[in-house]
Amino acid sequence: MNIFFLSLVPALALILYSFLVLVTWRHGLEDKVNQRFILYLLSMMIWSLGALMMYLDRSRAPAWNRLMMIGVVVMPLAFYSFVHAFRREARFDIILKIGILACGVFLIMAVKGYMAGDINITEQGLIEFALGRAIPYFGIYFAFLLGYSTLILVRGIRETKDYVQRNRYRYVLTGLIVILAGGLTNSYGHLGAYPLDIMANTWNAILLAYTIFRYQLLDISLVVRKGLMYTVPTVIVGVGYLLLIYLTVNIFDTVTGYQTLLVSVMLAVIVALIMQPAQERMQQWIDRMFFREKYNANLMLQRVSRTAATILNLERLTEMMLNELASTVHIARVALFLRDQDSGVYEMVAEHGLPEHDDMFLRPDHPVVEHLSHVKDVQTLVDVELTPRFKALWARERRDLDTIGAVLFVPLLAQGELMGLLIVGPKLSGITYTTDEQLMLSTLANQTAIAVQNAWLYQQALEEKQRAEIILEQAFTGIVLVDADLHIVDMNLAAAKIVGYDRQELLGQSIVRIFSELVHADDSALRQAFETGQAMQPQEAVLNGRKGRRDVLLGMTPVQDHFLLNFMDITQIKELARLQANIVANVSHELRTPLSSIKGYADLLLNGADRLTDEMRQQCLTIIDSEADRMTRVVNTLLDLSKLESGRAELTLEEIDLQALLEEVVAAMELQAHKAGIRMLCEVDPTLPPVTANRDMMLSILKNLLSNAVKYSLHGGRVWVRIHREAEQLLIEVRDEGLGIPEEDLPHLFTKFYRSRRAHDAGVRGTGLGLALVKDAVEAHKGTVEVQSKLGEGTTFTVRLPWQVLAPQTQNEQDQYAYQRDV
Amino acid sequence: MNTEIIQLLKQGRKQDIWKQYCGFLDLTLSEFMSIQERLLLEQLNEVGASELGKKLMNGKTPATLDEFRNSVPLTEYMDYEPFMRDGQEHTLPRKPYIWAHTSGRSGGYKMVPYSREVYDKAGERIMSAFILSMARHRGEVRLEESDVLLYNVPAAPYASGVALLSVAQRFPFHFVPSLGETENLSFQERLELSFQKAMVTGIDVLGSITSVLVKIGERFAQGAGGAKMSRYVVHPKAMVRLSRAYVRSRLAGRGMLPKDIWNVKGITCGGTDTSIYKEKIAEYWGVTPLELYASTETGVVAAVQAWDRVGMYFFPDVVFIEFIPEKDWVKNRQDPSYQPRTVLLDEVEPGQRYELVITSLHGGPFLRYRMRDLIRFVDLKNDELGVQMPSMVCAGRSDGLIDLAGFTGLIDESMIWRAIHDTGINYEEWTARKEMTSEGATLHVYLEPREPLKLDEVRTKIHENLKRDNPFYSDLETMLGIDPLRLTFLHRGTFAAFYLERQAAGADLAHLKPPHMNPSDQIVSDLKRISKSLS
Repeated sequence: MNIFFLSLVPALALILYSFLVLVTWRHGLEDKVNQRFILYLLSMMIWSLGALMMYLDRSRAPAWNRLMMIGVVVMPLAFYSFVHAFRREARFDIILKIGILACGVFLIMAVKGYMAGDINITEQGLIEFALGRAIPYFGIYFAFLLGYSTLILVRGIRETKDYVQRNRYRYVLTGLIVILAGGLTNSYGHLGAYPLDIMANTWNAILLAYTIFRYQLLDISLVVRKGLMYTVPTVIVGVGYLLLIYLTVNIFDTVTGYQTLLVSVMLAVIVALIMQPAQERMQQWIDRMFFREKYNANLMLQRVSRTAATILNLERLTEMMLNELASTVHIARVALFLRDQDSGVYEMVAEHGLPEHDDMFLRPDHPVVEHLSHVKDVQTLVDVELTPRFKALWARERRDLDTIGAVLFVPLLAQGELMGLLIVGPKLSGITYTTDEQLMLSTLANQTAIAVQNAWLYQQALEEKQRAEIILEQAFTGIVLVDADLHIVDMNLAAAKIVGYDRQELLGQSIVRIFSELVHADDSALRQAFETGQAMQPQEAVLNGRKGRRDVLLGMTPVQDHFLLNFMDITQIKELARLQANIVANVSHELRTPLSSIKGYADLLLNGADRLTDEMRQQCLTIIDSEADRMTRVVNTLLDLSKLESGRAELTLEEIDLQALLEEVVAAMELQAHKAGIRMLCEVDPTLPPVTANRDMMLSILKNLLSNAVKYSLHGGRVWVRIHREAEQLLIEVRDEGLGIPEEDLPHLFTKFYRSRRAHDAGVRGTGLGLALVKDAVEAHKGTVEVQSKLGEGTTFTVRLPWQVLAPQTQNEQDQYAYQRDV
Repeated sequence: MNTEIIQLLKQGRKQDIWKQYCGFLDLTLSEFMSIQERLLLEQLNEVGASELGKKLMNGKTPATLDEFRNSVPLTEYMDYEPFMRDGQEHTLPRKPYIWAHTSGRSGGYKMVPYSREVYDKAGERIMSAFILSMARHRGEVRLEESDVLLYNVPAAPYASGVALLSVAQRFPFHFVPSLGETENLSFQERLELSFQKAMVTGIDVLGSITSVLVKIGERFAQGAGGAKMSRYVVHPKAMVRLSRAYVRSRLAGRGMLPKDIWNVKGITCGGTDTSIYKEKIAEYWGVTPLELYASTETGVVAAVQAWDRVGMYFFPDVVFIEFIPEKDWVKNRQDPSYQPRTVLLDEVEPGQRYELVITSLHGGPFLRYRMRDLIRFVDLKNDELGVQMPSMVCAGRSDGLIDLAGFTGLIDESMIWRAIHDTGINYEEWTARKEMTSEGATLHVYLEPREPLKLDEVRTKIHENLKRDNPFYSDLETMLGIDPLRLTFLHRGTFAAFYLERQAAGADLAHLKPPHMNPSDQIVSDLKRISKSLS
């Protein structure tokens, strides 16, 4: 071997040691460990320098060998003292003191040349040397110090419960084994010719530096085991590749020169393509066979990841996650806390292995919560309790953590926010959690966090949907969603009600069915809105309902690819508006006519009194009085109606003789009937006893019905009035042979101020309030009124009053009835 | 649940040790206040359920800090006395783990129950003080396993002794003397024994009464020597130690000092005199002492200096702290029915004196308890150190003040001590009080010098120093032309004789020496009598 290449080994070692000395120096020398480490590095520097100089200055090899031996002598003591400090052994140490003494003696021997005999470096760079007389004693010193260092480190590994610290000891121990192995090579003549011991020392220095400067370390045993195991598939692939080349070259002898290279490249590509999946499989197999825990953990993560995405029930999700975790990592106790969205408190939602306990929760200002929110990473109990903030922990909170046996705190983070945490207790084996396991827990927590967030969002969406549905269903406006083809996609209950169809009947149907005119009309705003995709402000429209046309206020909003039609039924409002217009017209008319008369006669009396006879004056005054009465009646009727409708009318009951009451009404109407040539025929059941009812109302019923019958009868016609009892009802029937009422007017007859066009056209005067009054009076007695009419033949009004209400009662019963009515 | 310090030390995790024990110095003021408030809320719930709490809070447990400050009255020991007896443990918030009692310096003995948590905290905080006493800069932990801890503070059941028991459970110090070994020895005997043993063991950490260290240092400086001859002194290690000390002192060209014998890493001291003697202690012992504020009621150490050895910083988790501003305690002094208002740590002002009010945490018994200790805030934060909390110094006792005239301001112990110390005279001891003479109110200082001095000269110097430190005192002369200071020299050995006389009469440790402030007529009369007899 070339001497140049061999000299590179100590040169590299020297560079490395110098670098480490500098780094250690910069790291600070206040700590005893650093001080002793730097002493060890210096001894190794001397060792390497001596070795390097032996190669570079072969003529003075014995002198450089002595220098090297100084380093060799100091090294075991420096290493021992470093291990001693590293382990923080008790201050007083007799071995160290004896070691210092022995080291001094061997240093003198090294300088005097008792440690190494003749030494020679050959042209090939091989070292030929003879051992000195002191070497056997030095061997004892060397072996004892390094052996004792080994013992200290092994004890450290066994005693410490801390995973990281154990790893650090392992690194140092591994380095020590490397040194011993390197040193042993010197005992074998041919191996001693190579600087293998220096190579070993270099490797050890690197390991030690890594141990000291890096705090978190990989599990070295895992690295070594895994490294060795993974070599197997790699070797298999490599061997396969070489074999293939060998066969190819030998089978096809013609392949020579650059063709060999070409074939090799091609084969390499083929091997890579074929063997890569095979290698991956082999590595998986190795994981399963030799790294069972990690393999299982990976499988568990995959399982959780797969399942979590499909579970939207929080309870099931958290339970599944904890069970998987506990069974895979063999955790004795673990608890999962999730943040309550409203209070911010972290409540325990799932646990495994906990003894009986009270409800557990973590306040938002819990020191652990605050710390995790800040660091956002897995924390050990030590990490957390070292923070000053941890001092604010309450005794109860401390007990809770003790109950769980908290060892690790794993945050559940979603978008950087702490949505929960996993408090992990000890493993069943009592062994501490490795870095890999912490990483796995962190991964699991993150997966869970996402799944939990999904479940939360799902829950939230569900609730929001329910709320929206309630709002839609309870709205009194109709809402219809149609697609781009104007087919109904969905609609609310109110829409169905307004349209008059069942919802199922309309789904999938074209909107044209409802808004045919609007959709078809060229100038329709709705049509333009559909075409332009722009919103349509609410405006009056007409829809085709099952029961006919309905007036609606219709608006439209485009929603993505759909249109949302929103309409309110304003049929009644429009009807009311119309009625209001009628009211004004009728009341004005009803009041203006007598008012005009009054005004006219009053003017006559004022301005032409001297020209009028007494009789004429009297007539004027009579008319004024009569017209004033007419106005009063109109106003009273309005007030009565208003009272009845507002429920303010006092229903004073009294005994009424219906025969007498009818006679009174007929007498009042007689003149009017006589003028119109109408005959009134009355029939009252003679066996009918007096009834208990409100006199004014009964009077109003008879008067209005009879008055209408007379008004709408043709000249010479007849009007029948019949009062009798039928079963448990009192019937009042009023029939005429008049004009009759058109069918379309019948539903509106009892509406205030409603007057049929036919009546209007016939010039029959009226306020449109009479029948409304009848209806209210009848209903006040819990009765009903109905009408039957035929155009040109006449009309019959039938009032049905429950006999139970009208039967003579005690005062108590009357009061009770009055009370129930009010209620 | 606390991580064991010894484990951290063995793992070389000194930064973590610093974080755990001294990390409170990294807190911001708001973090400090939030820890205080959180622990107070826990305490209120616990106290509110106890018989003691119901009585003190009238059966109404405050739910917030403001409610607490507005509704709970300030208390004194007499409010607790009926509950601090055997058989009354069930009335307390938490079952006592151990009872501690006070020195009786401020009157009678006070029994104080320590819950397990308070006991643990006591040890933890002493450890913080030890670590800080050894630190020369932020983050430096010089603690080593089996460090020798020499202590000369009263043993259990005094609070200091109780705290040391807690420390022993926390860290394997080599206690010198070992705990329990000296229970039957007098203070003097224990002192001698501990330093004799230290000749063999060495001293790493020293927990001491300030005056003891000063006295020992002075004895060395005066060439009176260290320990008496004993089996410890002839021990080879002691001889090596003495030889080395001899060489060191020769090389330095002076007499042997304690620092030549022992390589002390840290000293902790408590009391008003610590700041006055810190240079002297540093000169004699080679280390500037770390001052701490401790009392039995606070669960021993409540505040401690940082590595700069200037102001003290409160621990956030020992007791809940409030402060009565000077204006309020003066008003309360004149009208005891006046309820003084309090301020919190984030409301204090630098340069102002306050009386300390504490509320126990971790199940302790005290609620808004007036400590009667005066403190003065030095600064609201220290940017140089990177500490964001107010620092303070002790100013004496609120019942140990001298009020010369209405507008002179109250003269506290530290003012007089500083004034005497800064004269540079060599003196043994002093005591001072207000005396009424035909000329009006005077401040009478009784001083025992160690060497012949001119009375007028010393009086003038003290007067000038008082004027320097107390502008109100200065105003007395400038505005009214009054010089109120009277000085009486006591004969050499007066205080020592007084001490022996008291010891012979069976007085306890706290009452052996005359108080510095406001000694009774009897004490002054005794001192004068002894001085006269010695002359």
